[in-house]
Amino acid sequence: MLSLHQFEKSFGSQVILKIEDLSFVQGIHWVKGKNGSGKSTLFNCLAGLSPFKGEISFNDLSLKKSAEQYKFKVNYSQSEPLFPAFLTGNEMINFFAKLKKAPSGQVELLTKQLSVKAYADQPCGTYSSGMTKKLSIVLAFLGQPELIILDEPLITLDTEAQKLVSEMIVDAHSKGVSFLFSTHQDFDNALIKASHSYIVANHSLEAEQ
Amino acid sequence: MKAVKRVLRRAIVNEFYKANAGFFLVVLGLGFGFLKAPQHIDIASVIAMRPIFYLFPLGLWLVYITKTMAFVFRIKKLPENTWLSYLDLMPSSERTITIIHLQALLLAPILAYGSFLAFMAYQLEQWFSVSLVIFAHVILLMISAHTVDRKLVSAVDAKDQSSFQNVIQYLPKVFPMLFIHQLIGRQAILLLGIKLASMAIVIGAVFIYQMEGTDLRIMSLGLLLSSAVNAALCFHYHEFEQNQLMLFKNTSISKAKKFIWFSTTYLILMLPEIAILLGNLSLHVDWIFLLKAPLLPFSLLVFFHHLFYLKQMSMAGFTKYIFFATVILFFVILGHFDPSIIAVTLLLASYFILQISGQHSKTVES
Repeated sequence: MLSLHQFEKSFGSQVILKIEDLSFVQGIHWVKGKNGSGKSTLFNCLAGLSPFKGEISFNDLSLKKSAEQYKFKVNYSQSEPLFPAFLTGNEMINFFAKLKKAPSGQVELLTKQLSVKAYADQPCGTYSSGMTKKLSIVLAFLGQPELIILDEPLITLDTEAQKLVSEMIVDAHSKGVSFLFSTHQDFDNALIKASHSYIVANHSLEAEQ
Repeated sequence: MKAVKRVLRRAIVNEFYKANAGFFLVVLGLGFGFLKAPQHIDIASVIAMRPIFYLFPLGLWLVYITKTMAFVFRIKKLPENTWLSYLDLMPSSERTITIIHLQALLLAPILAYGSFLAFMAYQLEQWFSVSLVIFAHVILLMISAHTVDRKLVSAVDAKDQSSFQNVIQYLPKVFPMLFIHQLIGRQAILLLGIKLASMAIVIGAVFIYQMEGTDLRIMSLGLLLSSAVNAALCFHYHEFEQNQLMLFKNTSISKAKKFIWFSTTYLILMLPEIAILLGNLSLHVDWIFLLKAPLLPFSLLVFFHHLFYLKQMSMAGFTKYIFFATVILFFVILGHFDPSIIAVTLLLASYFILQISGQHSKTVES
């Protein structure tokens, strides 16, 4: 279970989000919100990329105190991912596969599944936004995560890739992986059925009925 | 963990040396061009006999270490480097060794010179100096590696602006100032490092000229070296233009106007060096020289900027051009060629390059 306690995120004096107490149980969680509402900022904090005040923990593993164990269990794909232009997709994949202790054969399977293999030996600077997004999703599925956070997982992807990603989410969820994903538009997906939905508004995150 | 080490080496070490190629060019030029091997041996011998003098290289090493750490801190904040935050997934002992190895590669120039100092002290059987040099270098390596390690695994916000943000809000937001906003807001340490190095060279040239008193070529050579240091800004301006000023390409602004705008940016960036020249030489040097002198570094920067319209280049590729241009102009200036003629030629060439750039695509479209 992912928990937030007295969470606060600010940029300078501008408070972006303030969440007193919130828990995400196992399942698929959908976070909605307008552009600039703070969804990506929240996800960056949950992934341990951005600093914050308060406490974030996953199954009692504190992000601040046990970052290593926390990051083994919580994976993340950014909304508009960027990678160094001079590194290849394979280099990024091998980097994450080593650090996330990916089981053997997983890299092969994921890169084949999302058709990343075809271009993974090229530098990231040559990728289109859709290709970069697919690489970022492959990285988010590497290892043995218990929670995968996907910020706008389907944007910039073509219809075929959207279907593949949806199938990967459903498949991983059937094996016990929880998901936290965001969209700024209504999300109507025939495959992914969110068990809980939330809205980011007025500098807070609230569960929807 | 070879895959992890390889990626880190490429993303941090290789990028550091590429980004600072101009700096190393100048340091090598000054350190091994003006000073020859026997002089280095003499200096090392004197220091070995009087260990208090080690404070001088130590001071220089601290400046260099600050430069390496500032580089790591800057790249960690770039949005394309968020993946560095996952380094804490490495087993801590392995991570420590990896970071020390990376930091040793970054500090390679000072570790190499430190080894030379220790060797010279050993030759003179100055055992205290040998231990002091080895101990000081190991401590510097360990402390800087620890600081870099903490920074790499820590969470940072790419959106964070530098503490100079309050200052730049008062600067005008006209086109020639946009890159200066970017530099102060996002790359303040880079700008500060370049300007300090460049101003140090100009001050050095002024000092040598005032000692020597007649040969104005010394001033021109100093300004040439200072433009080699500043040339890194051209690469960053090109990147900024490609990434954040792309929309300006879709406007009907004339090329002549763009040329004036880009030139104005470089003129503003060269103001500290011009101020040093005017402040120190106005009473001693002919005012015609003072008017012509800043033209050389200014025109070189404008020329380097426009080279990117001829050819897309990486920092490493760009550095080769800077190196060869600097070496050629070094000898041209030594040959008593008037620097203002070089400057006018470079400005005309830059304007010509801008005019012909993009003509092929225009023809295709029409």
